[in-house]
This record gives sequence, structure tokens and C-alpha cells, in this order.
Amino acid sequence: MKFPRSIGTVLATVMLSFSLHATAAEDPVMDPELRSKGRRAADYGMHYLRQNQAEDGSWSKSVGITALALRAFLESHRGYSTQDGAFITRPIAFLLANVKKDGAISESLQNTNYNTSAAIAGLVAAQRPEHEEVIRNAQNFLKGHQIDEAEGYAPDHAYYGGIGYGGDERPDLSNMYMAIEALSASKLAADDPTWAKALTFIQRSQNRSESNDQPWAANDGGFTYMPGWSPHGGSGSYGGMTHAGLFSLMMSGVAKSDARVKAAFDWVRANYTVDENPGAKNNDGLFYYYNAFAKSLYVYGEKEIEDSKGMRHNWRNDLVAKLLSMQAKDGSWVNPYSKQWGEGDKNLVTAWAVIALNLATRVPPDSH
Amino acid sequence: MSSPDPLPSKASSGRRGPGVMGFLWRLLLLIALAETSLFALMSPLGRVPAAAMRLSLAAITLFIAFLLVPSLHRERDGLPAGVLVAWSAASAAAVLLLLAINGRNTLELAATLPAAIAVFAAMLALCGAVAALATLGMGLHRTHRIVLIAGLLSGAAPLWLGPLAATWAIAPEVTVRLSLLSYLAGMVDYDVLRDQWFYQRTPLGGMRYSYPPALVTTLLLAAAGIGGLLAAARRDRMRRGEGVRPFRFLFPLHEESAR
Repeated sequence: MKFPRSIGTVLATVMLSFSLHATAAEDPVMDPELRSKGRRAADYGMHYLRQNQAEDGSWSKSVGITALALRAFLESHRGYSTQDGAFITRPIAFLLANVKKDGAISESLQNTNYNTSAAIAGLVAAQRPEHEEVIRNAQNFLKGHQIDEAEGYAPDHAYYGGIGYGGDERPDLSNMYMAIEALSASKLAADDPTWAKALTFIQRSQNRSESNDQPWAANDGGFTYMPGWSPHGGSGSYGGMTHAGLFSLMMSGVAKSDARVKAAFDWVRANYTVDENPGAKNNDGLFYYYNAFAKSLYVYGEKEIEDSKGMRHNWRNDLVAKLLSMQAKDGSWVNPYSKQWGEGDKNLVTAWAVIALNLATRVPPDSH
Repeated sequence: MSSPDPLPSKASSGRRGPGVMGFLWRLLLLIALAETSLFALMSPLGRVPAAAMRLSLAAITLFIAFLLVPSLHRERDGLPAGVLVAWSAASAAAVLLLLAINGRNTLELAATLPAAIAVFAAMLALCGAVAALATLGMGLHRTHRIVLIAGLLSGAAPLWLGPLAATWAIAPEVTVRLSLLSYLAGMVDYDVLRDQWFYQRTPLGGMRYSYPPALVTTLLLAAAGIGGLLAAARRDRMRRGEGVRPFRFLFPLHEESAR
């Protein structure tokens, strides 16, 4: 029996729509339409970055920003690699051209730890065996810059275990978190003493007096910029640092069930928002917050967050929708409220936004 | 110099100038004051990074050395350029000596030498500014005070210009490069703007900036200093007929007694 062609078309359409509906209903972590839009927004962001890449492959003449932008490409849903051409290989060459004798990867003397941390993460994402030695040397450089007995600091000093920008010895949780991400990405052995010392500093940046021996410590579970001081006043907790702290705790091997992680997550629940960097003045560091928010919640592994009023939020949907609403027509992002911490630089902010979108729209391996 | 200022009594009385002994006494006083100030500043801070120590020493020495410039007491004779250059060199030597006394970096010449060079260049620039401005007829003492205040304002530029840099009314680079302290910090390889005290008081620490290029800035400062001294010498030579003694490049410590 011959099937009428029109009926076949209708049946095919119905089957296709059923299959799409089934896929949508089964998407374990986020709204599939938002995922699709989020990936398209990441594409636009990467398009902006390509348009603004310098001839030598760098962005903003900075190792740190170049490494972040490189990572945005390499970790995207497009799965870019060194096989894809000069827009990937040139930034890698730029990073390698800035490798110093002591292992640092930096174009300047005052941001050596920050730049080296970002460069390690970028080179690890490139997954090339020929970079292993550079990565190992850079890892040793970071370990060498951790504040400890070698610099004359005793374990009871508030700086102990911390890592700062690199041009001075003042450590802070922001640089610490960048370094921890790099050390973790480059697979520093779990029994390396660097982790234990790092944990000392991390918990001294947390407002939790049970685990923080500093006299200023409050008890909301959030994190501040460095022991006893926040750029937003006093030593109060704020969004960017609390997500950086939560991420740092988990990457340092602290279990999700640990009281310090629970306290940090409770702060996140109580201050859940994507409309601002909670606790920060003038929305300073807003995109740093989005970036750290995506990283920490991806690693934390919960699909939804129940805030302290009992409202449930799908963080992926919320973050993607917010970033979509803030993207400029040329595909870039910039902090419209504050230029502090480099957030007037479209290359940096776009790289952060794309990395956040990559994480938010990625299907976690254990979600099926 | 044709200064309308009433001169200090000892200068106008025709007394001998500071002489070699006066020069040495000032140098010793400079070292003692710088060392005392350093310890007074550092002791409550506990352990201080070596680069921070170099920076503090260089800044304190520069400040005290400029306060004690010997030629200010020889105003009637004009500014002896030789004394100023020698004093700049002595200030640089004092930095090296102080670092050695502190027991740190004694063998790290590569680390301590830039601190001394920076003090030499900055001191020369400050002296050159005094010499050049003094030719405008303001008098050495007044000019010295003006340059001192300008130097202090320049050193503190990150604090008072930092908020403007945060709003991009002026570029962070401009603010950083206007500061003598930033220059010294760049020379000793210490990111002073991200030091805890500065980081907590100026928004510059959270921005992208770079310190003034060491070699170029050193040459510019030295050139500005020499230029200022030359300008003063030329002016004095032109006004010799008015009874103003010419600006000299010899070491004129005993010249007065020979007159």
C-alpha cells in the first residue's frame, strides 16, 4: 500500500516534535531553549573576541586576559583546539613568549601570580603535551610564592598560606582562588603541603568564627577579600568572594558535607541573586561575581538552589538569562556600573562572561 | 642667584659655607635620621619584605636628603651645582650604606643598586627644579619649600588622584607615572600600590597599570635635573653684571674664604 506523501510529512513532523518535546522534558539541568540561546550568546562573545584579537594573538596586551580569552574558546561548546588555526595557536605562542626564567608567565612584574595562574589554566585547557614542562615550572613558581615559613611567616600570621598578585607579599582570596584553580587544573598532587597551607588562608578569609581564628571573624559563613578586610567596607562577606571561597574550599579537597562548605553555601542561599554582586558597593566586580558564581555552583553540583525564603532557583537559567540581557550588540559585555578591577575592559569582561556561559550551558557528566 | 629674600644671617654674614666637614656632618645626620625613621616605621609592622624595606629606605632617605640640601645655606653665592650633584650622589651612597647596615641585601647589589640610582636621579631632579625655579627670583628657601611640597604631592598622587582614576576621568597610568613614589617602587621592583596599606586606601590597586619604565624615567629625571642646573647657571652668567655670582660647576666649598 502506498502511503500518501502528505500523511508521511505530517507523521514525520509529529514524531520530530514529540522527540524534541521529550528531549526538552528530559533536560536534566536547564531550560533547553535558554541553553541554546546561551550557547549562541557565547558564539557572539567569541566573535567579538576574535575581532579584537591583536596580531600577535593577545588581548589587551595582557597575559592574564589573553589566557582567559583563550580558555573561553577552548572550553566552549564548539570544542575549539589548536587544530582550529592561528586564533588559538597565536595566543598560546603569546603566553609562551612571556615565560620567565623563574617559571612565571607574565608580561609585567606586578601581576606575576595572577597572570601565571590564568596562563596555567589556559595552557591546561589547550591539552598539548609539549606545554607540560612550562606548566610544571609555572606551578612551582606559584607554590614558591605562597606565603609561608620560607618568607618568614609563622602559621599564626594572617597572611600564612595565601597568595597575592605577586609584586608584593600581600595575599588575598581573589588571587588565592585563581592560583587554586590553576594548581587544581594542572593536577598538583592531593598530598602536596600547598593545599593544607592554602586551606589555612582560605578559612581565615571566611566569616565563620568556629574555623577562623581571627578576632574579626563574624558568623554569616560568607567570605571577605582578605583576612579582616573587604574593599566594600569592614570585613563583610560579599558575593564574588563567597563564590571564590566556596570554589576554593571544594578544590582544596574539602567535602561538600564539611561545615565550612555548608556555611558558605548557606550564605549563597541567603543572598541568592544574579541582579547584583551582593554585598558589594556600586556593583564593583559584577562579572567577576558571575564568573565565580558559575564555577562554584557547577562544582557544587546542585541544579537548583533554595533560597532562605524557600524559593527554588535554577541557577543556570537565571545566569544565562541575565547574561543574555546584558550582552551588547557587538557581542561583548562590560560592567555598566563600575570599572573597578578591570571591568571597563571589554576583552576581560567578555572572556569572563563566555567562560560563565560555557559552564552554565554545559551538560554535567553525571546528570543523566 | 638674585634673590629678593632676606638671607639667613649666617649666609649673609659672610661666614664660611658648610665645607667638607659640614657636608659630612649632614651626611651622617641624614643616615642617622633615615635609619631611625625606618625602624620607627617598620617595628610595628613585624616582618617587612626586602623590597618594601628597600623602597621605604629610598623614600625616607630622599625626603630627608632634600630637607638637608647643603647649598641652601650658601644662597648668596648662588647654587653650587657641584655640591648638589655631590649631595645627590651622597644620598644614593647613604641608601646603599643603610641597606648594608640593616644586614639584608648586603650582597645583593643587583637589588640594592637600583634603589640608590633612583634616589640619585630623583634628588638631582628635585635640586634641578629648585635651581631652575630660583632663577625666577623667588629665592632659594621659598623655592625649596615649593619643590618639597610638590615632591610630597607627587609621592602621594595615588592617594589623591586615585579616586579620579577609578572613574576614568584620568588614566590610571597617568596617576601612577606622576608619582615619585611609584618611580622608586618600580626601581626596587615592589608593587607598592598593592601593598596592604595603599590597596586599602586607593582604588588604583584594583586597576591595570604599569610602573614608569625604569631606565627611561631615570634618564629623564637626571636630564631634568641637569637641565635645571644648566638653566640656572646660564641665567646667572647672563646677570653677572648685576652682581650675581655665576653658577659654578666646581666644588666650591672653600671659595668664600678665598675671596
